[in-house]
Amino acid sequence: MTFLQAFLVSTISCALLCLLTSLLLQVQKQRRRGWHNLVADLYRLDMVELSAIAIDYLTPRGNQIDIEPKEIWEFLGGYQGLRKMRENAETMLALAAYAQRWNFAEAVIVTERMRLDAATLRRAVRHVELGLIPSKMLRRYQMTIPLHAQEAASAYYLMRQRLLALYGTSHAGLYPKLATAL
Amino acid sequence: MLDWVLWAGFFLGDAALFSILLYRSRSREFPVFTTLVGMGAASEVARFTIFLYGSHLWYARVYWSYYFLDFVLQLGVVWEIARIVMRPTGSWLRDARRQFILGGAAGVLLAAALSWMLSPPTSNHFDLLVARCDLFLNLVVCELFVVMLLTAKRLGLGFRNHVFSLVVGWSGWVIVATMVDLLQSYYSSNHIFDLMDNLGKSAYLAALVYWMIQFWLEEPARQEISPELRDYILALHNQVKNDLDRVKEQR
Repeated sequence: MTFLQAFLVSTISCALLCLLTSLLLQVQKQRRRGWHNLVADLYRLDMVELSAIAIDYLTPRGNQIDIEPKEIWEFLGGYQGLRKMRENAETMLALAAYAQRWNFAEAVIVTERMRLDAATLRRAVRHVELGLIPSKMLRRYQMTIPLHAQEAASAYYLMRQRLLALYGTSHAGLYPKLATAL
Repeated sequence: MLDWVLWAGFFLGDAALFSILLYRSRSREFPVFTTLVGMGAASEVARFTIFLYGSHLWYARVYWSYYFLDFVLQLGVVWEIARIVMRPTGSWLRDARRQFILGGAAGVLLAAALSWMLSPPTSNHFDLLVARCDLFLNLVVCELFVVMLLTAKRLGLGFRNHVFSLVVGWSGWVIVATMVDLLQSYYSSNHIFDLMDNLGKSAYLAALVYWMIQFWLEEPARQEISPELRDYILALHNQVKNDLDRVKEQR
């Protein structure tokens, strides 16, 4: 076995083993997190501006070009804002699954719907990330980036609304803290 | 002497775990894993008997037949775990199965390439083949677990106690076994080779003990999904799939 072969086999195999160990630890950590830990992990986002952008996308009315693409990008907090939305989406899914403990049937349906919204959100953020690469290289503003960001914001908005509605109807005790955190 | 102890340990461990899986009715949820463990116990007896009273030829035949069957069943167990984790409501989540299969296929190719590159300083072709097959199998299982855990994390899927214990025990064993395979490919000394071999076997024994404890314990009861609810979820998945197909066609 040549040195290069040995190096490749060892490096890739060890990287795989480390990745597997790290994923297992993450899953174990996730399993041990209680409801309050989950809520504490949520990032605070400006929901006033985010809601305005999402509603503009979800319920089209007259003057659909009222909000400029650059404004959408700024209101959502740019790429950092999108990253926070993506991470919050994971936590919100865990919170929806948590509600299955006391409101099984509704929580199962809501979790499934939220999973589909989360898939839309991730796909839109991925489009933004792909769009940012040529945008940075060519130093030219890509008009499609804010449009995908708006799609992500609308999916996030739907997830949040579904989660709040689920807790609002089934657990009045936890609802206020969740509403404040979101 | 240590080899004999380990051999007896494998048989006793597999037989005890098999009994627990049947007695505590875990075989309903994990039929392939139960088959694998039961077959492991049976093969230990068969190989031990042939080793004492049979010929080398028959030992090799039984060894390779079991090796192939074991490989297929191990892949079956990974599929079984993936089915449990990625079908929380009884139907596959959109994209989950496709991602798992695509990721798994890529993992098999990578494992095949890495195993082919491995050439331990062994004296014969048989040992070389065994070393490559062992590494291939361990890497495939390791990669499939990585793909499954990544997909589950991305989709926000949780693991229940038994299935998580199965993944943890198996991963621990596979990690040690892969390290052993890699180290054995560098060291030709018989003493170190045997030491590593026994380390890998001990990791399997530890996994067996861990599974015995975990599968004996009960996990929180799962609420059953009614047929109406399952139909609704299925319709929801189909509707989303149809909508997406329509959007793709329009593009």
